[in-house]
Amino acid sequence: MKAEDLEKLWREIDADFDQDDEIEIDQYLQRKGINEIPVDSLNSRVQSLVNHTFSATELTDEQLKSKYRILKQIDSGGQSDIYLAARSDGVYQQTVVIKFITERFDQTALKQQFLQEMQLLADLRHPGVVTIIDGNITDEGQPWLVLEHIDGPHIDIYCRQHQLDASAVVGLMMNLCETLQFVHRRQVLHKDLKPSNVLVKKINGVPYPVLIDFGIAMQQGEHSDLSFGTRGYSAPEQIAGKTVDHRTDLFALGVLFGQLLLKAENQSLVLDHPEKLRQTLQADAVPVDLQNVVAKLTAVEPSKRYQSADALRSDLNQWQLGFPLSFDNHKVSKVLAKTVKRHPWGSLLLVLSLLTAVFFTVKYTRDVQHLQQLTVAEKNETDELMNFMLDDLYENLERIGRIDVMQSVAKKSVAHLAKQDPLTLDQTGHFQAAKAYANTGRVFDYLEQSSKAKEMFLAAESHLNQVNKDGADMVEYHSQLAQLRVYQSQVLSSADQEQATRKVLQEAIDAMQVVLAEDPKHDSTILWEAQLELSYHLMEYAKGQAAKEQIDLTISLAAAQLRQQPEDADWLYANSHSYQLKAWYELDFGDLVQGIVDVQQAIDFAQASIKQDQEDLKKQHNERILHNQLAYFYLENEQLQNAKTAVLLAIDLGETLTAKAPFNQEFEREQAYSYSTAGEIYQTEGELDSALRYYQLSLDVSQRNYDKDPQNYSAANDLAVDSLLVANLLQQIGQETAAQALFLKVENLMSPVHEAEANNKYYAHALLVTKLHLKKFIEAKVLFDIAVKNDMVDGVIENLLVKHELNWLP
Amino acid sequence: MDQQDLTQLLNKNQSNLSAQQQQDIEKIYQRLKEIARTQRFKVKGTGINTTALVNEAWLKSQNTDKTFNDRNHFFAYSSLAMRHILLNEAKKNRLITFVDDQDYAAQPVFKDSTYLLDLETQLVKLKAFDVRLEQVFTYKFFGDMEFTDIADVMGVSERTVFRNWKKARAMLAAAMQ
Repeated sequence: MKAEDLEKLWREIDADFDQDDEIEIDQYLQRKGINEIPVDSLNSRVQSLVNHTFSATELTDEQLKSKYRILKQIDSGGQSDIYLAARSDGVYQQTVVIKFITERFDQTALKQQFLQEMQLLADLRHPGVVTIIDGNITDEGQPWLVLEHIDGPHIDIYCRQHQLDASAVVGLMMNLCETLQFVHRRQVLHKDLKPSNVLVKKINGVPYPVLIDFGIAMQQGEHSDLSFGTRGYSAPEQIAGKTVDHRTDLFALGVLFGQLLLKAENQSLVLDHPEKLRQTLQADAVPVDLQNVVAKLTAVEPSKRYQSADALRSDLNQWQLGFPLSFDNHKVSKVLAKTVKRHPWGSLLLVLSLLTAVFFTVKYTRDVQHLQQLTVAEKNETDELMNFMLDDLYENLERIGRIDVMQSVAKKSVAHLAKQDPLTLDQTGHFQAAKAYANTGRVFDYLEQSSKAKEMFLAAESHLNQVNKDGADMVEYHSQLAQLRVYQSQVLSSADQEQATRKVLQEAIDAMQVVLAEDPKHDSTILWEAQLELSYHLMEYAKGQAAKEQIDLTISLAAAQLRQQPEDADWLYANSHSYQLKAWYELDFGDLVQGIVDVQQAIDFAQASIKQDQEDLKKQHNERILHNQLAYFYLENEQLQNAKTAVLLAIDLGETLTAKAPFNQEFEREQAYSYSTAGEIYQTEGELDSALRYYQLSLDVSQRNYDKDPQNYSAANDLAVDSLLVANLLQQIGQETAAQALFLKVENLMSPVHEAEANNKYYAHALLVTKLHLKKFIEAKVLFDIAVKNDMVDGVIENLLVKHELNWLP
Repeated sequence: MDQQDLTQLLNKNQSNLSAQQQQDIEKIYQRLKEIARTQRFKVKGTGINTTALVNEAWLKSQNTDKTFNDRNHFFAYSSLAMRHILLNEAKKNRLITFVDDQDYAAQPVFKDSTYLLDLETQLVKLKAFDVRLEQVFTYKFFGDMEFTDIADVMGVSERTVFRNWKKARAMLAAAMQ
């Protein structure tokens, strides 16, 4: 329409409405032949534009606009708008995801925090974590992120599409655990794990789960923000707004895992309570072990869940291999059942024997009369089972730290052995009885009941002696004798019987010489053990020269064996121990720097042995101990930085171990040593706060171990030593009252222990230090005399003597 | 912001605002955007209701700054801001349709943008024809103000406002057919 025509038309309209303002507009336009519908409101006319304008869908940020072009909106949620975009800066072709976070950060502090967190996420480079390509906050305070575009389905859809079975789902979960562990170790939480946040991407044709959509503002230990998390997946503590940590993610992972295990038709059920999930898992006949794993993950109490993704991964691995899971470990029946699976040679015997064992155990305790009518063969069978239990089971139980079960096994063995009539035994019977007594003694030794242990070893010896008189298999006799002597040496040394210890170890070595002369191919492990023990013994009694000779023998034996079997995990392990021994020698009698070299050598062997046998926690424990030792050596050599590195590594390894074997007190105790070494390093550096924190960590472990097993003197001693460290530091930072209270506690703890084991020099030492701190000088003097006798007067005591102006030193 | 400022602003060419005026509009824009966000947050899936938006903005401005002491003036000003905002947005979008794939031109938001740009062309003409018609249209269409409130702001009768609204709509329909 021409301008004049329009103006003419407008004048007409103007005039018409002036004449009659009641005109109905639609009809009026129709009469005029105008088909255009008159505009009335923004919302009816340009709603899309309005939405677009006020939804911040445009790339307002210059930085973004220059690089990316939005292809389409993928998702719009309460917290963010997500777009698929193409890189448009001509650098290279790439599809990315741009995410605008609804939350605005207007204050500089919040912006700073957001950017720091972005940096944290950007630093998480892992194939299982979506990569952050770019990110910033617009001038209007709106944060945006550019993320790698993962081209794959949500994990639940993937599992359904490919009809994955439990084993394949477990495989994906293990990958996910690895990723989570990686993320958690960097103190990052996901906080919103659910199927739609886990995509399955094919990496070189292999499916791999990728975590997307990390919650923002998510440093560990912060209070949870209710806007994060998704119903059904959020852990109770998250819903309650309490402090969340990595275990909150593990809860969500548990729900996710459970869901993936369900039948396809049940996966969409709303399982807003763990109990419902559990019931559905049961109904769908999911393997019981996996049901238990899910139940453990979704426990209400975070402390009842798996304590790390690594621990879960380890269990899933165990499950795939058919090994017992971590939480089965406290059930002896399960350990037994799975032990059978792992030892095909023993299974027939064991299945038969298990039945007879129950039968006999009941019989032995109830019907002594009947026992005497049993044939020798039957008895031997039972003994064999007892030995099997004490041998193989012992390893398993020790590994998982179930000393209570060991104790009951030991008691039953003793009850069983005591009821034998020695006159009915043949040679085999005596050998078996000897072995059973020796193994029972080992258990008592482990339980630190040295007199009980000694009693058992003597009984074993008497059975061996009877065999000897009958002129039996001498190889068997001597190797059993050698083993027994090594065991005996361990109970003697803590009772400080210098001559006796040396004598039994020499006898062990002699016995093994006989064995090897008779059968040169015989396993020489016991010989090596005896030499190792003897070396330590000689060092303990300051026989430097003799110790050196024995150490050289030990090292060359282990090296020779390794040359014959270069990939044997146990001899690699033995080599590691041999160099560890040498390192201690260097510390006490030789050159500290050489000692450090030796520890490093020991670590190399330790790592090689782990490589050959990755499942054996004992070998991993060994490596950790060595890092502890290395830290201690560096500390002695005043290389603080190296010491710190070593001890922090030991702590790291220890945390992994604790996660894998949560019941093992020995692992925990060693962890406590790491903590106290770290404390010492920080104390030396003058960082008293950090020092106190580590000492306190160590003290916590000791306290826990002691609480679990208050009859264990060694645990009491550890608790005492750690308490003294903390109390001492408290004194140093001026908290005198707290320090005194702690000293009194140690006194109450150690007095009865010292009374019971008066010969133990370590217990006496701890009590002496305590008494000096408490200024109970009369009692202290008695203990001091013992310390002098035991050569236990160290710097700590000397300093205390000076401090209290006591003129006791000669 | 008083009657005089508002009139002055209304009389000005929309594309020729002073720095201060641009800042004021930007401020309102930001506030509207913020509110739009929370609104969308509440009712996910539905579009943004501009009326509710401006109402909410008024309530907020009462709680925070007191630049506007008169509700009607605030609404009038918001109408202008809204017009300005949408126009800018539409211009930006049309630029995209010029350079990008034709697919985008088919999307509703780009159709809306073209429509609004056409409407703006006619509004400029309408202003030249009768400035009061253009003002009434702006208040009602962009600000969704009540007729009685527009009458109050413009100092005329409600009936006149209603008549002018009808005239403006009819004229624009005629112009855009």
